[in-house]
Amino acid sequence: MELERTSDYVWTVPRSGTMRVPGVVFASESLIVKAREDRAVDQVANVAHLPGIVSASYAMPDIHWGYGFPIGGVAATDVDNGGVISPGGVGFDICCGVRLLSSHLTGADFAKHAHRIMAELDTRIPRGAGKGGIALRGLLDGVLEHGARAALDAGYGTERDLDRCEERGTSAGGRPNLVSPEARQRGGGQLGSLGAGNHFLEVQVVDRVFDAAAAEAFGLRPGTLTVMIHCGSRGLGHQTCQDQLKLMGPAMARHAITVPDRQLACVPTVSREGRAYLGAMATAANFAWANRHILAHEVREAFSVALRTAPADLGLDLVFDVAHNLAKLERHLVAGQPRNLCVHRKGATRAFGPGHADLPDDLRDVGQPVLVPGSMGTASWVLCGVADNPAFASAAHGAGRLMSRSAAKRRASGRDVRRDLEAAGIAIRPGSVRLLAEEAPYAYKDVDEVARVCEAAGLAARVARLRPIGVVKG
Amino acid sequence: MTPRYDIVEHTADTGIETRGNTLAEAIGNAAFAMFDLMYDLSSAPATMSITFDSTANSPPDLLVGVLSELLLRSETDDVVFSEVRVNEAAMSATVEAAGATAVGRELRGPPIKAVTYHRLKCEPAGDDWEIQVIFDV
Repeated sequence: MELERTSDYVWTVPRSGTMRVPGVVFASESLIVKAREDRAVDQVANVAHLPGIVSASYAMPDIHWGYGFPIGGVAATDVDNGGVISPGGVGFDICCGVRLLSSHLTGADFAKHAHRIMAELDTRIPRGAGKGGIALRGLLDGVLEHGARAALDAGYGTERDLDRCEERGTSAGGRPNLVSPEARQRGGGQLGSLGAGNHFLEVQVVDRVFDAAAAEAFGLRPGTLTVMIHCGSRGLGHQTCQDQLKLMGPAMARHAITVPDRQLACVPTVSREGRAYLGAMATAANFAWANRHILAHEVREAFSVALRTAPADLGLDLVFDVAHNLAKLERHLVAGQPRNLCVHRKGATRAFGPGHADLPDDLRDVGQPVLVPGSMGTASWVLCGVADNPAFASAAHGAGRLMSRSAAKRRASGRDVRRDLEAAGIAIRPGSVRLLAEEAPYAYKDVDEVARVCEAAGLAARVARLRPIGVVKG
Repeated sequence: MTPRYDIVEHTADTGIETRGNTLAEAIGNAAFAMFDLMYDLSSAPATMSITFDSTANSPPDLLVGVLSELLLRSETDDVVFSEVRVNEAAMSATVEAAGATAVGRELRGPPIKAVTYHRLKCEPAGDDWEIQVIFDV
């Protein structure tokens, strides 16, 4: 696939064939290398075929090969002019995202009580495949309709937590009957669980602050402890996407839509099938918001027990909760005109700049926290949304994979990875030691470079770098 | 005989390629591969079993339907399926799957979330049937 460098951090896939718009990849020279090697750039071009797509098919600096959309893909379609919604632009793990807690604690506090803290987290955080969630199954229907609010009403978390969630932790339009009985059955026993793969819970320390004012507004001070949770809608979301994809095939034929990859199946957003998907997606998203909310509550409990301190005295306050697999109906300017868009972010984070009406009051002058987790041995980043973002207010969602899972396993064993992490001073509690090899730090791109390029490309500004000191993996 | 499959390298996810003398056999081999990626099936003797029917309009859709149902049943019933037998006629399959409990069993690969349509292949190849499928993990 042809790729032209149009500026230091912008690469363009020129419009060709039946592409409706060009492709635009935000990357440095070092980050573009892998995207060129695998099929990620082809996927950027494929997404450019979606009916109603406006401006460009974008990819963030952590771009890599996905299925249908590239990971890091952003596509906005014009809802009022035939713009489609594509379940593949959201992915199977609907509303997968990241939640970050700040604290009054320091790295020294952790070092003193590391064993107790990690033991509590190890015991309390359900992870791995299949069943096993913190919350009772009876909470499911309420959660599917009201998201994190239902979990709060059941005694998990605090009211302030909702203020620091995208959409206040509830996607409008969710209803239990909008997802299949199979989806509810699959997710019913998993509410309050981490899952596996690249999902994790990390204890981190604020390693470096780049923007003192924004860091202060986010509650991040150098040397203090943070906790990051990365997970999504578990089996309920996976099943919902699978169910919806099955329906999309015949629906596409009815709407006379063709796409270059079946995983890009789509329908007009305002069609009956489009509205059905939006409802199912919102329902699954509500599971994910509540899932992270419940896990964060359990983290506070774990620290409270380990440190023999009341949860309220630990200051484990929510910095923010972001989704990075979701489609949202948003209003943006396109060629100077306000348009109603369906913005798909598949492995990309919403990044509203200062002044946006959807931000909580205390962050409106600063901008939205953008959470960019790295790999378990390197770092994670907190960025901040900026004005005039060139990709419909979107930024990176992680380091981005560099290496296939098989290649990562060939390089070292899970035991080797564990030994290396521990030697680097990182406590690790894996659900499966064997799986550690696939998630080894070397399997990912340089997250520091991803954060730098986000800033250089005008996607988001660097606020703070977080260094891992304790990892709980699925 | 243990069904054979090859891993298809993918940056974020995992894929497999497999074959069979018939469509049914190829789908059965893909099902074995799906669980073999996640668990050591040599230590998952068949002590529990299920049967279900699946219909579709095309071989790729039948493949996705069968694999998706197995994933669903695996997750809701906490079962690892080590033996999957498929009988197929006119895009209608009866699936008999047997395996052991997943509870307490160590994963050797990340749990498979779903079966994707990306680069999906399920078609005749000479006298055989050939399958390629990418799983979301």
